[in-house]
This record gives sequence, C-alpha cells and structure tokens, in this order.
Amino acid sequence: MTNEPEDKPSGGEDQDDDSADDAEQDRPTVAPPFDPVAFAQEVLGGKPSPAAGTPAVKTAPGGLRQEPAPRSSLEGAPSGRKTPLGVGKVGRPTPLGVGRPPLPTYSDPEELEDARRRSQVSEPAHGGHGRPTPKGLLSLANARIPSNLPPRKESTNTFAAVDREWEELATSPPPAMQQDLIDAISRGDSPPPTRDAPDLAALAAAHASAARSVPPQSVTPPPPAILPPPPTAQEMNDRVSLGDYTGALEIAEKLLDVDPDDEAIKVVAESCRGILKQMYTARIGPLDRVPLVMVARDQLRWLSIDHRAGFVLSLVDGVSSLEMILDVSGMPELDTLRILSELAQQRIISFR
Amino acid sequence: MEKVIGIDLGTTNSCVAIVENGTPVVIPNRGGYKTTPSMVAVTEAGKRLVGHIAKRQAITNAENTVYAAKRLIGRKWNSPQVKNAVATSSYRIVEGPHNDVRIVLRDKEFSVPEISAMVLQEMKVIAEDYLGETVSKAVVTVPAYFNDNQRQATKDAGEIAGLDVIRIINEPTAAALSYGFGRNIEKTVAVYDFGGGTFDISILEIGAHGVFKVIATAGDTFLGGEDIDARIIDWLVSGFKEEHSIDLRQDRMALQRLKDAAEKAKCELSSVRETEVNLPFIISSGRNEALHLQRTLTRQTLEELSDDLIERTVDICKQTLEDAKLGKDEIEEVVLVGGMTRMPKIQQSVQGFFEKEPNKGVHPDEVVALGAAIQGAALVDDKQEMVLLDVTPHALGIMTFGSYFEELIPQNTTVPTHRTKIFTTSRDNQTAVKILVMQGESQRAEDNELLGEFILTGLRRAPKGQVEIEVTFEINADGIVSVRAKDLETGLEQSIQVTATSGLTKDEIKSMMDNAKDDLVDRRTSEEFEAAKQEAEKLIGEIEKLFPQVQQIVASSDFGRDAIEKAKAIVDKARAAIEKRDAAAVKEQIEGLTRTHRMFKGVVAKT
Repeated sequence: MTNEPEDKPSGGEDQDDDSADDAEQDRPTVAPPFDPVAFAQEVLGGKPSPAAGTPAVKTAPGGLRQEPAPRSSLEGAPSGRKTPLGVGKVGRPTPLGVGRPPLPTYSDPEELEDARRRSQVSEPAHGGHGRPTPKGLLSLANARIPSNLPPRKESTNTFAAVDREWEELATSPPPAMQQDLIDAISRGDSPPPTRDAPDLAALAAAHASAARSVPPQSVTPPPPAILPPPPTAQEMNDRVSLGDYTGALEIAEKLLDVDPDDEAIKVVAESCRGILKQMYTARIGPLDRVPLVMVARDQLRWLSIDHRAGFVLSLVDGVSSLEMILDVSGMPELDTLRILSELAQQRIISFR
Repeated sequence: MEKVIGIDLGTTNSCVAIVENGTPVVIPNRGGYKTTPSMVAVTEAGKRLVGHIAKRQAITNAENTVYAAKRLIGRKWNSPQVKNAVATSSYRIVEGPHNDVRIVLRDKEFSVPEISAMVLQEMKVIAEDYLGETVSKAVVTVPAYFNDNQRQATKDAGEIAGLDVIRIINEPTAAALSYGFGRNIEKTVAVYDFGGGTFDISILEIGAHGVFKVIATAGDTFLGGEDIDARIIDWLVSGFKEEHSIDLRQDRMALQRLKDAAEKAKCELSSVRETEVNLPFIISSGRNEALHLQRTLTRQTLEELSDDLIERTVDICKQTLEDAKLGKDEIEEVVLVGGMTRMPKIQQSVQGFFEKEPNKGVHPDEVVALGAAIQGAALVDDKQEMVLLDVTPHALGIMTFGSYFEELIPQNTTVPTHRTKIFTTSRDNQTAVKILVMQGESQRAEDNELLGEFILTGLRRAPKGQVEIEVTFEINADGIVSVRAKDLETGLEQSIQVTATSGLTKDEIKSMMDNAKDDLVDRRTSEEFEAAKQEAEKLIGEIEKLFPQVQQIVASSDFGRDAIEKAKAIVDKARAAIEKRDAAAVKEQIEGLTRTHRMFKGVVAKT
C-alpha cells in the first residue's frame, strides 16, 4: 500500500522528521477513500486481509492491550521520541517494565476497531499539561476537540489516589500471590487485575497518565470548560471513509437521537451495522459453531474483562451455539458479536 | 396403533411422555432435559424462542418473554387474576376482542392459547424427534380447579399446535394414575404438588375400575419454587450491597445471572449441605473495576430463607383436609409432585403434617406427564384396563334467591348425565325468572363461574312459592351442557346450550393454526438446511485439504486437470447453495461432493 504524504494521519508530531519518515514508511496506513464494499467482500470472501501477517494483539499486564510493535520497533519507547515513554513520574522508573507502546497507524479496519476500543478503555484523561499526543487515525477525531482544554480537577485527585495506592503497595510486603503476579508480569504473562491482588500494570499506567495530567503549578484558576461541539454528518462521513465504522455508528446514533427521521443517517447507520457485523462474524466464523470456555472456572476471575463480557462468557456453556448466545444475550446483536470476537481474540473462548 | 403423547403443560415447566412397550417413559428434549420451561420469547430480530433458550434470556428481554401463561389461559379480561397479572407481569397484557386476554410481544398481539400452543408444539416436536414419526394425538393435564373455559382454552391451544387433544385430565389424577400404575389399589391419597410457580394439594379417592375421584383441591397459584429463588436472590443482592454498596438489581444482566445461579444453588442444596455461588464479573464499579460475587449458601440458610413459604403450603393442606372433612389418619398415602418436593425441608414438613412418610416412589417432575401418557395409551388401546372415567370437574347449578348457588350436578359426576330440580318463584306476582347457569363449588354464587343466562317469561301472576319451574341440566358425551327451564303449569319453556369457550372464534383458531403450521414448516426447513450445510461444509473442508495433493498427482494428465476443474465447480456450486440457504440444492450437491471426496481419497491412496 503506498502512502501519499497528504494521506498520512497526523501521528508523529513529536518525532524527528527523518526518523518519522522512516517510521512512516514502516507503518501501514489507511489511504482514503476507503471502499467499505470492497472491504466487506474481502472479509466475507475469506481473502487474507492486509493485516493477516500481523501478530496477534497481545494482552499486556493489567489488561492494557498492547499493539504489536511495527516491525523494527523496540520494547518500550520507539526511537525518535523526545519524551521517554514508560516513565510514570519524573524521576521514577517505569514500574515492572510497562512501556508505552509505539504509536501505530492502521490499515486494516479490524485493527482500527481494536485500537478504537482500546483507546476508549485505556486512554487516560488528558490534563492540561501539554497537548495530548494524537494517535494515528484516532487523532483525526480528537483534532476537533479544542486543544486548550483546562486541566481537570479530578486529574489531581486521581493522581493523589493512585499515588497513595502506589505508596501503600510499595511499602507493604507483597503477599505470595502478588509476588506471583509480579513474576508473571515480568515474564510477559497476562495476569488480570483482581480485588485481592491489585492490577499493578494498570496501576502503573494510571500513575503514568496521572503524572502526565498534573497541571503545572503556574496555572491557577482553570477557565470554564468548553464542551466539544456536537457531532455532524460530515464527521460521520469522514469516519466512514476512514473505515471507523464504530465511530461513524456512534455519531449516526447521536444524530438520530436528534432527528430520528433522517433517512440518510439511517442508511449510514444501517450500513455501518452491517459492515461491523460482517467484520465480527468474519472473526468468529459461522454462527452455528459452539464456543467453549478455554479458561479454568477458578481462573476466570483473573481475566481482564468487563461485566458485559463476563455476562456473555457466562452464556458460553459448551452446548449453546453462537447463534443461541446472540439470541439469549438480550444485548444488541452487534454488541454481543463484538464481545464474542474479543473473547475469541483473547483466547478466552475457542470453538468446537 | 396410533401413538398418543401425554403432556404436563405446567406453569413453569412442561414435560412430555409416552407409553412404549407397556412402559411409560418421559421423552428428553434436545438438550437432554426431561422438562422444558413453559416460556416463550421473541428476540429483537423477531425470532421466536421456546423453552430453555427463552428462559435464559427471560430477564434481559423481560418485556418480550412470556412465563406462566397458564395463569391467564381461558380467563376473562376483567377477572381478578388477569388484573393481578397485568399489574405484576413484565410483559404487556391487553384486552382481546372477546373480553379475552392478549399478550403483546414486539408489537404483535398473541392470544394466550396461542402462547400455550407454542409450548405444546415444542413438546410435540420433542416427541416427534424421539419417535421419528408424526404425532397428532395428546392427553393434556390441567389443574383440578380449571373450569370449562380454561379446559377449552387448553384444548384450543392443542389444536393450534396441531394436536388433537383427546382428553384433558386433572394433574393430581394423572399423578395418582401414575402412582397406581400396575397396582390395583383402592386408597385415599393426598397429592402435594409444589412446582416452580404454583402449589396445589388434592385429596383423591382411588377406587376400583379406574375411578379417581377428586374430593378436595386447593392451592396457591402464586407460590412456587420461583419464590424460593427470589429469596436466594435477595440474600445474594443484600450481601453484595453490604460489601460493595452496589444494588445488583439495577443491572438486568447481573439479575439474569443471579436468577440462574439461585435456581442452581437451590437444586444443589437438595443433595449437598452447602454450595458456592460464584459469579465473576457480575458488575463493574463506578471506577470501571469488575466486581465478582462469591458466597457460600448452606442448606440451613436456605431453609431459614424459605421457612414461611413452606409453612404456607402446610396451612393450605390443613384447610384442604378440613374442606374434605377428613382427618390426617384417613390419608393413606401422600404423593409428592413437583421439583420443589426434592427439598429435604419440604419433605420433613409434609411428613410432620400428615404424620406419615411421603411416597417417594414417583419422579416428582415426571409423574404427571407419565400419568397423562398412561391415560393416552389406555384411550387408544381397548385391551388396557385402567381407564379414567370422564367426570365433571366442577359442580353445575343455578343462582337462587339471596345469591345462593344451588347445585344440580355435583363435582366428579360421570358424563353423560342429566339432573332435574324444581324451583318456585321468590316474589309475589313474579312473571319472569332469570336462570343464571354457574359452575363451582362455593355456596355463594358470586364465587362461582358464570357460564350463561336466560330468562323464562309468561309465568302466572301468583303469590311467591306457588309457580313451579322445573330446571334440567344435561351433559352429553361431548361435554356440552344444556339447561332447560319449564313452567310446569303452562308448559312454557326456555333453554340454553352452554359451550365452553376459550375466547377465540373458530376462524381465529384456524388462522392461528395456519400460522403455527407455517412456523413449524420454517423451523423444520431451517433444521434440514443446517444439517445439510454441516455435512456439505465438512465434505468441502476435506476435499479442499486434499486438493494440493491431488493436483500434484494428476497435474501431468489432461484428464486429471479436467477432474480438478470439475471438483472445483462442484465445491463452488455447493458453496453457492449454502449461500442461498437452499436446503434442496445443498442436499443435491452433497452427492457430488461425496463422489469427489471418494475419488480424491482414492487418488491419494493409490500413490
């Protein structure tokens, strides 16, 4: 896939020009206009997707999913970055080897969907300390949000809370189970967070994000918050052309809340649903397959999933087919498909 | 000889049985369960779900899941039971065109017999899958207190499902029939039936020559195992709230899991002393942290939680014995029916009350369906000895002065029958009398069911008590009740024919039958397609695996290349047929695929 300069997502603003160019050459990028129909045919036709050779998404400690490094990137901070990543707070080393992953761009809409979801789950709230680094294609959506947002008060609280938790953790001797967890993280395993054994990696990441979001001391009274502008049909179309169907669907649904009779928006929403459904179905295969839980029952609680995924997982009984699970989940079909495909991707479920 | 299935159409669960080689057996459903939840749901995609699958989404899709339709069947819109259901049900209940009840699922109205028909159809399909042949006749059980309209509505449900309901029998009678099967017994038995949604106690006299007489029956249609589940859920929810300050009831997904877990725990505690309720990721906290529920429930706690509910059943038993004018010592056997009777505490309470150990020789979940199957087999087999006599389930009579009920045909009278009684006028110069035909056992007319009414006019003006009117009740072999009132002086007479009605017209039933038939055809076609698809896909997969090897082997010959092309074409055709969901075309291609597969295997094997 060729990369025209104007097609590049604005993902490397704090990189050196040369290294940025090199990095860009190494990264696949989306070249709009994207043809959703061709993509759908490709997915349904079973042809290998452009990302077929991409290694599977790995679950990083604490459930923060790490995108595999694009070819030559190193564990931890990618080259050419000014700000050292993996550093939680100035002067404090990155705990347990948790590095900030390099910032990739995505050519495969499936990858893009994953990235989008990850960004929703794990993206920390940006404070006023510098602009948030735009991340690949997602930055296009963020670009509309004013960059001079005031620092959020909660950030400080979050930081304080996290700091306290971190302090407690650092001062108390780790129980055996926690030591196991630390060892596992050091080995690169993916132990999940629990109440008993706090999620160290997530804590570290939260700590780092909180550190980034600490407002500079010179900034005193925060200006009134500026609300992001309401989404527009143009923005929705932009998302569609970028292959961000989840984002486009979200906007379409918001627009339909305002005007439920807008036929054009309805059509876009419907086609987004259709494409997303095809994407997820392509991942999990025919709906008559019977999923099986691959994690021992007593180990389930160590997984890094939310309660919705927990609910869907509870429906996987080794007898019910995917279709039956879709029927009984009581959730919108698309949500269930997404969760099932994520569970399959994380190898929590497999198929018979 | 035609096979007749016996169906226990329960409030919460249904069961189907058949007599095979003289032995009654319960037929398991596809999931291997011997009972199927009497639940019907329609999904967001408009798909109809019946049984276990409907139950599994009953809370997350509560508005479109019908449970306990049996509480509504054959009832009038303005009846108190319907009013209660309207107020308490999660699904929408509306008034039908004939003062009947309709249920709205995804904006479509269904009559109650139609909903019950979906459950009956499921039972029919289970039996057909098991027997490998079509089943068209059934005996269906109903509670002993069901009136004629409710019985007729159940019959209509059978008709809609494509079943000829050759007999409706009382549930306690079916249980007693199963209990007495193969034994010539004459006993007074109590049938204690504690099911998922209802509790019933019946006192029966099992007489010689197949006479099963229901002496008294009572119960609570809103007391069952589900109430005990609810107590467990309360216990789990409050424990979780104490620990995390989160109310799990606010989340439907959490509640669905709690419901399933509570029922499972309850069942387990019938055989073990404690069980663990483990629900990981039950909910997320405000900080997006997944929380888990893990608690140990002991049998003792469960008994404490359900103690008052069990006590209520004992009170009803006490009342029923008083109504039957029988002492505890006159009950010779207590038969336990319904899944809840597996609970040790219930068995102890029953034993404590009746002062004798209850009979555990019958399977509590299956005994009613087995009884129905026994009756079904007896009805089509002349050699079978035990045949239940067709009796009137309730007393029939008229309302008299002062709103009293005057009984003409007592409960449990064998039909056909007729009875006559003479009445007089209650006012001076009364020229007309209104005959209100009623059914029930209460002495107060308003407590009984009104079946119909008519007026006899032209009476002679005379002081009260002088004009005599003869009222005759007649029930023919088809169960149709005719009532005639005759002025003995003038010979003038008026009559009415009372036919039980479910609230549906014949045309409506016909239309519903057609719909149900279409649904069944669709379902069968879909199943046929799925089976063919699986077979075709398996063959395609195996052929594709062999392709590279075969290609390598036959590459040198034109004939071989041609064979490869043909094989590819067959695979493509099969794929196209699968894509079109055309079962016949897929089946057609299976033949070609099988041939190709065989040929490929042969080629590979030779090298």
